Amino acid sequence: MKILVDNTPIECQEGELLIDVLINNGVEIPHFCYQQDLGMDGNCRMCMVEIKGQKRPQIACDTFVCENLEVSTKSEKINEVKRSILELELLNHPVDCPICDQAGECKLQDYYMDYGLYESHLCTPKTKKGKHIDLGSNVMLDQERCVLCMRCVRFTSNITKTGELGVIGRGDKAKIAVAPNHPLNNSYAMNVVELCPVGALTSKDFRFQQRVWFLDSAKSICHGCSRGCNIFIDYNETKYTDEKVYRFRARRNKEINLSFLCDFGRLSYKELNEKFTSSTWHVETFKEYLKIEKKVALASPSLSLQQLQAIKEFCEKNSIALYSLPYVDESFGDDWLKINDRSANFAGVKELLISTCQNDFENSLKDANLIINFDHNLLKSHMPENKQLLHFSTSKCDYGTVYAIANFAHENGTLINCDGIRQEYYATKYRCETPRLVELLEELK
Amino acid sequence: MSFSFNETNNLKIELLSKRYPQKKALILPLLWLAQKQEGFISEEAMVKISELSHMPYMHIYSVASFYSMFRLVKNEKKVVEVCRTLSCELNGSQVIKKHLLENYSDKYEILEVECMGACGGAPMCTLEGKYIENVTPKMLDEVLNAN
Ligand code: SF4
Ligand code: SF4
Ligand code: FES
Ligand code: FES
Repeated sequence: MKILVDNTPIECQEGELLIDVLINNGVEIPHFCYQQDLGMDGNCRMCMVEIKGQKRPQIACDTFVCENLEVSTKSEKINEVKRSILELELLNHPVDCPICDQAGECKLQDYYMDYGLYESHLCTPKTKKGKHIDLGSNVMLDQERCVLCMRCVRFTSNITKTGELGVIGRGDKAKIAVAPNHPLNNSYAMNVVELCPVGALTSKDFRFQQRVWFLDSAKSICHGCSRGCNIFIDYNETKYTDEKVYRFRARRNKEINLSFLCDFGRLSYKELNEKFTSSTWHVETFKEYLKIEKKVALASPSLSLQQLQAIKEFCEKNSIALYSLPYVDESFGDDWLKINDRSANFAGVKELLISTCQNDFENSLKDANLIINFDHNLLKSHMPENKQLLHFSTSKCDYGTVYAIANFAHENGTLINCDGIRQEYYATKYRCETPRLVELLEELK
Repeated sequence: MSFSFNETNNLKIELLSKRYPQKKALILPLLWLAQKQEGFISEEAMVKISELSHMPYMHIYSVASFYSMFRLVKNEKKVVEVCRTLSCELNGSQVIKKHLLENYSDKYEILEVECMGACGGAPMCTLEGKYIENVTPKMLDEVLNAN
């Protein structure tokens, strides 16, 4: 079926929400309270549109499409409505955008640029509220910047069902808060920072680190567990320094993580910035190593299919017994996103028929003279006696000869998650100093 | 410090819970009972209400903070509420308020409130929840000094 939006026909399905149709088709529709994975709340009125045949403007987030609906999102009348709503939102706003961390990705700022009134009608003083309140779990609140869209409250009441956030007071004294002695405390808490359309909720970890317009984003996948949540890696390279990853943001995927991440995964970007040094840079060194008799290799189950495939071929060619062992952490999983299997690609290991038998691995280890470790954590801090140990590693290793390779921020690859979903991730655009594993193995041939 | 409702209130709660299809609906009546019992609503009382109504603590706190007639801190002084809505205003609540503020603000907590539904006896005020109607400065002196 078809509807008409600003005189352009758009295909859609009976029963879809108008705002979803607009968002999915790239029609600009300002909105604060609606969020595709939190659903409608209808409290901000920012998504007003004109609908032919209806006397008053309607909110798009509570309108279902029907055949031949004629919608206008841009008329002068609608702009006037938006201007008034924004005026109301900003009555008590501190207008501290220059020092606000959200600047550049703030909906209030964006919409005001488009529909703002620019002249104040105000002659009474603004209501003052709390600033930089530590809510717990790395979340900071500025009550004066809040537009009371309730996204954060709906997240803690409907999604995590922990209910820490709420509104206290009423009228222009209404503000978001946690109850005294009941801080924000759940392993998904930092999602509220990303959900907040304005600068009211900011992350202690990211605030004041970087202006968002300096950041680039790469589409990637969290390697924290086998859920494989979709992320954006936000990174930047400033003059005379290496590229640095500043944060992970959720990338919406309806099949997997919706618009959310767990806090552990969200903060796991830090590993990507860790500096460590190779103990060798020469391919020749390995060629020497390869002459050693009796070799065994262990590959990390978080490597991509492409990397695992290359390792497998390399090992077959050099008659090295190859194993991979899963990362299992019984205390990690929960009943939502987090999974005890902390390997990003264990399903991929199985698909490539790489042996995952712990006993076999330990037996071959006993006989072996040389162990080649392809980034598996097990061998990074543990040195088997009377063996030579060689690492291709993305992080620091305590023993053995280490050859640094590019981490997943610098790789393109494919992973298979715990539900068998095959997903691609992409590298950031800057050059990495360390070589990519696949190319390195190619050279070693 | 823990909070529990007294026996009479527990009986009332039992009756109340039968009245509503959802436990959530108990929040307002329970907040009232707690306030009547202790004079204010303590954190412990809200924890208790959160258990009884099966709602998160923050939700109870949020409801309690919405209504200005709920007190969340214990008053050191006795509370006198003076009505400032139309009927009382027309019948001289200004004088009453002035008299209260000038003479009794040390000993009593004086609060301005909206219509208490006793317009027939305007102007009016309350002392610790008890209505004093057709109130005059002289009456106030008698009642408040006696307390
Ligand atoms: S803090 Fe942010 S998400 Fe929460 S109600 Fe305010 S504007 Fe909305
Ligand atoms: S649930 Fe797993 S994949 Fe998702 S963000 Fe957390 S650690 Fe990463
Ligand atoms: S987005 Fe529709 S009312 Fe807020
Ligand atoms: S106006 Fe004062 S009691 Fe109604």
